[in-house]
Amino acid sequence: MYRYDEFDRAFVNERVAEFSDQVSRRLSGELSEDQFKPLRLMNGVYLQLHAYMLRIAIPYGTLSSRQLRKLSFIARTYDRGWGHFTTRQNLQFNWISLKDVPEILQHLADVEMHAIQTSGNCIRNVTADHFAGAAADEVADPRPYAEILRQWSSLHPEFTFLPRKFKLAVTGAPNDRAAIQVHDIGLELKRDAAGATGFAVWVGGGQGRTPMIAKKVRDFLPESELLAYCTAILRVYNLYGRRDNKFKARIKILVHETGIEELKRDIEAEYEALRAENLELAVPAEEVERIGRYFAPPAFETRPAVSTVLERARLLDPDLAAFVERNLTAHKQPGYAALTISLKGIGLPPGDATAEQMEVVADLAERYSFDEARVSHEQNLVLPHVRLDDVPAVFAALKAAGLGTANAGLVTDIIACPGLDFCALANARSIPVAQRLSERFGSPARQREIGDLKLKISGCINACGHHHVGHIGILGVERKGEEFYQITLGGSADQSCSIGEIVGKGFSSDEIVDAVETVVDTYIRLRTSPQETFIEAFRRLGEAPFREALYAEAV
Amino acid sequence: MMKKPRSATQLVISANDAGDGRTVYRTADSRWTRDIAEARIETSQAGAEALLAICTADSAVRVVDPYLVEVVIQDGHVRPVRYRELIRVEGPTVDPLTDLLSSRDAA
Ligand code: SF4
Repeated sequence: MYRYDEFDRAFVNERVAEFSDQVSRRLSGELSEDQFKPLRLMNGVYLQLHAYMLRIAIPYGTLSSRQLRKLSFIARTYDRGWGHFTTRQNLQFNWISLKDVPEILQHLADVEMHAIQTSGNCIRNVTADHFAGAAADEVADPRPYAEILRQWSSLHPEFTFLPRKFKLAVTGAPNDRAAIQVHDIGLELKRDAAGATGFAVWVGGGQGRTPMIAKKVRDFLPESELLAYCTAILRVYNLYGRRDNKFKARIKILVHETGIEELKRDIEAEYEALRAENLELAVPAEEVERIGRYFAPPAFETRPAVSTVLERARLLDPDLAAFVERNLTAHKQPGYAALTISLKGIGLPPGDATAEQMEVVADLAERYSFDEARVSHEQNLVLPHVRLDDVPAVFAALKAAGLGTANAGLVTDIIACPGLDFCALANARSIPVAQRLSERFGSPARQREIGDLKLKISGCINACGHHHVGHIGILGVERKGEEFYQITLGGSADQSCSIGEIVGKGFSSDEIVDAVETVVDTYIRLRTSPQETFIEAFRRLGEAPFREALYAEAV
Repeated sequence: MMKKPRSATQLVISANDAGDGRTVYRTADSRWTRDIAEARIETSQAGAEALLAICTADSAVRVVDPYLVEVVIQDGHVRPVRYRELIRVEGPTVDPLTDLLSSRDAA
């Protein structure tokens, strides 16, 4: 894992001191809310419906046990004993008092964490594949590049006041688990024929009220050119991005309004100019290597690919067998697996974890996963490097902590934003809908029958719950004071990225769970075989049969 | 963002406490309270807006972004009209994970 150097440490500590002073001036009345608001937002402090919320950055979703224990401590000491993991691999605490924020930030700084740039019109937390450094299908670990981008974008003077927020995601595998095509810049790490490392570069993806799939602007950008090229993109955006209308200010709108070919010419021209004037932006191979060393593979043992211990245990324990089937992902190292810890217990709020659960995961990470845990954008936790022999013990500990749900990638592995229960921008509640859907589909047999299905819920058009790219997406809206839910179908966040289509008029809160079940039953009825997944069937069938099933009675 | 109520005749002023961010309401004796039952109810738009102007001045220190909330009196209780405001009064409709898990343990 990356460790702070002297510069990082000094910078974060200075920021804590500066913000502590600003908080005391706000509390004494010296600063008004108008003066204070931009300062608190720069430090991750939002004001939600019931309290201040603190959003903590978890760079590319990687945590050490020490850091996870600290988050647990903060949950217990300053919040109500739990936290919420988000679709940007961050953690939010919902019940924070302003007076406590300086202390919390100091605690975070002690474990090399902060909340800087988790808000505002700047470059946000760089996200990455949660199986980085572990997945069998990976070309190379994307995290060294995510870290280089993090360092480059932290307090970058030129890009601190962009037209709007800016999000980067990096994947190191052709199977995209980081949703790169719905980011402002998406990077896919790859190798050319000669084995050199570089990136396919995508620009202008995003969700929100105008969802767009990113356009590819480079098929292979050599790794040393990463920062210079990103600088060129950001410069073009900073110059031409709209500042007159908040809803049209993201780079996706610039791409859309300008056209990708013209914008690409602008980016390339800026890139050439930049290279001519300043070659320092080239990332030296030694620097890539230096940062890469922080992410060197742990000391894996040489082990057989199949674990007889695990095979025997799963024969005896059907719960373990189900867990292994759904929650283990193939590892690049024989005899190991990446293990998903579902934060989607049946009927529970998606993405939430108690302080005790965080402690349990921290202990397991320390003991069984080379001291590392991850946060996925799908709001789960991951132990990236677990010996197959150890899976039964890890599963037993998870189960005892209420974390043994075997549903990764199934219909109850729902993404849901905080919605109207917490969020000041919401139109409708998300979490209770997710809970009811989870209960409805919660039986293991029913979930297995349905198979892979991504269900995603947002409480407003800002789409933090990624509903546009859910196989089934649900968007909460308010109509005449009532909550309504629109269904979109056919979205996907992976390498075959697509934006879901709105299937028809919305459903009331009472109707929405039945409506989703109608969609699911229609799929089961029409699929060619259980091997044809929901998204495959939808792409073959189109939305018509689903619409008919949903609205048949109304016709 | 403050939304103007439609043609409400009963309005209270709400904001968030500057210190802990909690939902608060303006009382008749110029305090801020967490209890909507203690809120001062304005029955005219003009009166409400005048009070809001005073509260906005107050917001420099004690509260954040005061705004008007439309209410009705139901069975003697002050109740906001919009669902969003009701959730602000009553808190999240979801039980915290800590409670949900301990009730499962107890079951
Ligand atoms: S999608 Fe809307 S309701 Fe949900 S967290 Fe984002 S802003 Fe809030």
